[in-house]
Amino acid sequence: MARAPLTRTRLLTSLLWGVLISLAGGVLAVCLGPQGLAFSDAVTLFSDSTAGHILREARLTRVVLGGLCGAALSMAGAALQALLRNPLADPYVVGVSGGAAVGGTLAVVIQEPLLAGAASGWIAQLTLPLGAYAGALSVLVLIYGAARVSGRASAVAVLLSGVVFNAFCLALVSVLRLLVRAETAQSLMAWMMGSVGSETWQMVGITGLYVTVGALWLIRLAGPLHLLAQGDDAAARLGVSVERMRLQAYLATSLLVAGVVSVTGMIGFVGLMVPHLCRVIAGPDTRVNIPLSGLVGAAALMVCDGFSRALFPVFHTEFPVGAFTSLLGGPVFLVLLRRHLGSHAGAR
Amino acid sequence: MSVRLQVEEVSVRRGATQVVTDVSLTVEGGTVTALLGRNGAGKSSLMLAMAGLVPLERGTVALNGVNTATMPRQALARRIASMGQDERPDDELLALEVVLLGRAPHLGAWGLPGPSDEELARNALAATEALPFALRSMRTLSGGENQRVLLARVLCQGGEVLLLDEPTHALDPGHALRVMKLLRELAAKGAAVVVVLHDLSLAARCADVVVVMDEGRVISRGAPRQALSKDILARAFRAELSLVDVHGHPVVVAD
Repeated sequence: MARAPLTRTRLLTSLLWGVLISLAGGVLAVCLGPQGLAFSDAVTLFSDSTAGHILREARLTRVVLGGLCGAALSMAGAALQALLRNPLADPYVVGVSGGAAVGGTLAVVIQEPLLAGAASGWIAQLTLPLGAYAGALSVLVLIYGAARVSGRASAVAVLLSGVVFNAFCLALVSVLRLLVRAETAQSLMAWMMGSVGSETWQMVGITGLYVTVGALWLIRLAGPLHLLAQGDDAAARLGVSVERMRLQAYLATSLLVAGVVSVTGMIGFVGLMVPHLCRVIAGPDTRVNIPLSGLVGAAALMVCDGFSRALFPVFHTEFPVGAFTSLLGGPVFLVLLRRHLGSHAGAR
Repeated sequence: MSVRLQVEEVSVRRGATQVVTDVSLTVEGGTVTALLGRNGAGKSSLMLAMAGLVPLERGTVALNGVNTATMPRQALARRIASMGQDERPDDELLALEVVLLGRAPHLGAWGLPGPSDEELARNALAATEALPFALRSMRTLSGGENQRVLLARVLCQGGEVLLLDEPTHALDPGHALRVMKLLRELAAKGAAVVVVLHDLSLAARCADVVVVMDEGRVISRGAPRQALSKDILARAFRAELSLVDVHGHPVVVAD
């Protein structure tokens, strides 16, 4: 079907589809697990006191956290692709997730000797996301500065910067792990693997707060971001205060990435695959891609995590969803890279 | 009141290089002004300064007496529409979507266009003879077609001042002439039009005023027949050129 420019009706229709996909993903994710459930069984079990408690406290927290994480990473990916004018940008690929991991780890390392006992848990819940936020923002600003060539961050420059930053961040996290107690180091290791399991409703609530604020902020910026995707000069010609909008978009994107990385660790490629899928479904308009990526990304990660749980009987251990998305996203990334470089070679 | 864009003693530095030096210029509504000069003479930098897209080292640009540096970006974009020399919009966008971007300064934060905006965009595409490929992606367009789409975006933006950096450089002679005719029609309706051109004959034929630049400074200005003397052409282009009459039209030829 031929594409047409974005109108209010087309926007609402796309978002309605996104909501339906998101709801369907949520329902499927609740039913997926080591022991699969039919939807009707899941509904019945919710009213049961013991099984319902397990479903609500274990599986539903995972599903909701997975949804928040998928939405945040996908929206951040869509925003980064517009900001860097690069379809291969993704919080993980360009190193923003790595920066958040370093920031979060650093916060843990600094606070561990200072705090002990019951207070440390609460303070860690606050300082870890703040550290992750500072880390994500720093990397984003550094990458833009390092990779920017004549108003456009070239694909190769962004990817190289991302590779360097990721390697640097991982090395830094490894060094920082040596500075903490053995059990803290072990939990940091598990955190870095990328998982949405074992979280409480309280943690889900805190993550939800970060993601909601970041998501609403990015949605509000979607109009200027669509213009920034045409280049800084073009955006300025069309009435965008480029530096102010760019700064706001960096702050909002970092908030989303840090909010989820501080809880779930590094989950890669969701922010690359989902915005691409949305571009195929709804076209390249950033105004629809940012919210639609949020909805579809929520469904994608909820379902991926559901399959990770379903694989428990196969591996007899938890299969981290981060590994699942990377196994899926790696080949997709290579296909997109080949297509992107091919189209640019053709253009020359 | 007729629109007036005043450039007063403007200097622009890009990196370590002084690219525009003490340029003063007034552009009036109802006229077409052509900026001429060899490569690197400072024309594009002056255009960017007039559009408020580069910081000024010195001087001011005023729109109807109001310093443009003090105007909000969106308000300025409603009054000054411009296109750059080498703009490359997202190549997955449709031509019509690119033209609709011109409505952004007139719409809310999200810039979602309505039916009246789409009608304006289609009219602008028709004016630049780009309507037949309105629903094609930018990736599939030739350089000249891309340029006509960008020009349509400027028309759709609808400012009182139009700043166009080499709007005809990728166009064939027929399209170039018709684009200049279109710009003259817009000027006749009150717009102040400034174009950077390398086709001196086209400039001499279509512009009311030509401004010749060399090494960041204005070295001549006025009606084409007066401002494009043999000496000025030699100084500006380092070549022996003359303006002659062919069938009553001024044409620049090599001696």
